[in-house]
Amino acid sequence: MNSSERPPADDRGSLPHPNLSLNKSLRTLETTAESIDAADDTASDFFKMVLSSIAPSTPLDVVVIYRDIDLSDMPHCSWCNLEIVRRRYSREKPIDRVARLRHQFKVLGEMHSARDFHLVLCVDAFDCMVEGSIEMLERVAKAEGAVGGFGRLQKPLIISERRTLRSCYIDRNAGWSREGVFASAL
Amino acid sequence: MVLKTPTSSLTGPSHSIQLYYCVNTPIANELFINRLWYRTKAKIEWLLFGGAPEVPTGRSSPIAKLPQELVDIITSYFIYDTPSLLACSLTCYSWYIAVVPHLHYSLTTEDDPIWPPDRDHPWPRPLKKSYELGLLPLVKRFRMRMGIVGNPGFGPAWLNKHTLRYFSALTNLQDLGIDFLEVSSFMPTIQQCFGHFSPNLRFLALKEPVGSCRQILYFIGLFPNLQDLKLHYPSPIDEPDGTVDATLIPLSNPPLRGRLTLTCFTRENLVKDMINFFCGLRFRRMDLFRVRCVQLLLDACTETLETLKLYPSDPFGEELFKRKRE
Repeated sequence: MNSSERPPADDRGSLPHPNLSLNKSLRTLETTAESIDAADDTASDFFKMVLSSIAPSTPLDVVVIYRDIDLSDMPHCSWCNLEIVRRRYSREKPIDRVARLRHQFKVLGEMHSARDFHLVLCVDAFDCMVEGSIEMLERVAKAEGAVGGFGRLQKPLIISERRTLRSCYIDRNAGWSREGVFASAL
Repeated sequence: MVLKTPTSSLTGPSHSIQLYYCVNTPIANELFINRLWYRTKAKIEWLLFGGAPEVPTGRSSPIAKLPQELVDIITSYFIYDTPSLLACSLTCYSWYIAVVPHLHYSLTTEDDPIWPPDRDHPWPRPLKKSYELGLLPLVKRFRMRMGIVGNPGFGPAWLNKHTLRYFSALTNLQDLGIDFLEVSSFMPTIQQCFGHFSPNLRFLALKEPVGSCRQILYFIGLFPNLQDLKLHYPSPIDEPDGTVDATLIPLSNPPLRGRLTLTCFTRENLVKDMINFFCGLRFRRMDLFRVRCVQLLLDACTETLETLKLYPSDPFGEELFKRKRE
């Protein structure tokens, strides 16, 4: 496919953005809660531009992936309770975490003005933290929905994907393995 | 609508089974391995050569009378719970048979960057141990982690006749990940080291592979059933292509219909060559972070792309690198 055949991109932004107008099979757009935080005020504009380039006639899911570090204090199980794992987790206060989640929901609500989509919140957490993480996400989402924080967006679907420490006990013959800590690295 | 896999699936060994550090001391670990040794050997012989497994002659338990299919279903509920899997493996023979593929699904070796230079590197030890116990045919996922950037990568010097024998025993590997693979150093005999993975390998993850575009594509082309590809560069680099071997043509055209993950990826020529040699791209899922050629990839998969993962903290993809260079 020649890129010159592509319809002109939405020119609301001064910088280019991925143009998905030719990707007719696209049904799911994924992102991470962490990157929404990192992008701060630009996240909403970025997604509006990307969403506006997708054909409006096709149904679309926007999946936001929440890692356990986005939702929890510390792992609960003994095998997760290793110092090297615990270091990943911030000392963020619960009230700050709720404020951060509400900001993310606001961004997602604003995105809906560019294009209709179905919001899916995916909890990608260590096995022992899935239930607590889902519970917290549901509680904040419900409170935000009650005050109209999602705008015209439908109530989000909350799903989960379990993650486990990635190693084999036989690895101990080689010494310490850091794979569980850098689970997303490779 | 494409959704994430729900929890507690009954999908059997195709899931991502990983193992915990459930045994706290090497001594306990060794004891456990020794205890499993004869059972594993019997299991492998049974899998490879068929025939009826030896039935324990001790007291019979009602659990042992359950059909194997039911035991498989029951144990599949514990696939994320390694301590429970370990407990099940010690229950009886049929339960051991059901959980042992899950227990040995994944194997990781790691080299120590601060290891004394006058001593043998520790990375082959897990492989050696598993080889001696005859467990390597059960491994479906193998990760070879190397030290730090700047150290010598994984080259032919790391594969002597012993380690090559361990590699050859990984006969059912589906998922391979190697850090700092020096593809160029392995040429032209790279097929001798990795070719035996060809029939089963579905997922290939390379962290900072070293070599020209053609050499890396040749390596990818060794695996005719490859579906998912991950290229991970911890920091964006502009790696020169080096000497291009014009005669180097990939041995196969892998389907590559699964997931493409690129991180800090600057090698646009590699994508262009991939499109050229593999007759286009057909990925259904893409995960792109700090990738220079985002639009090229999107345009190459217009008919197939179903799921795209983007990061608003990296909103401008290609532009990011232009600005960095300016």
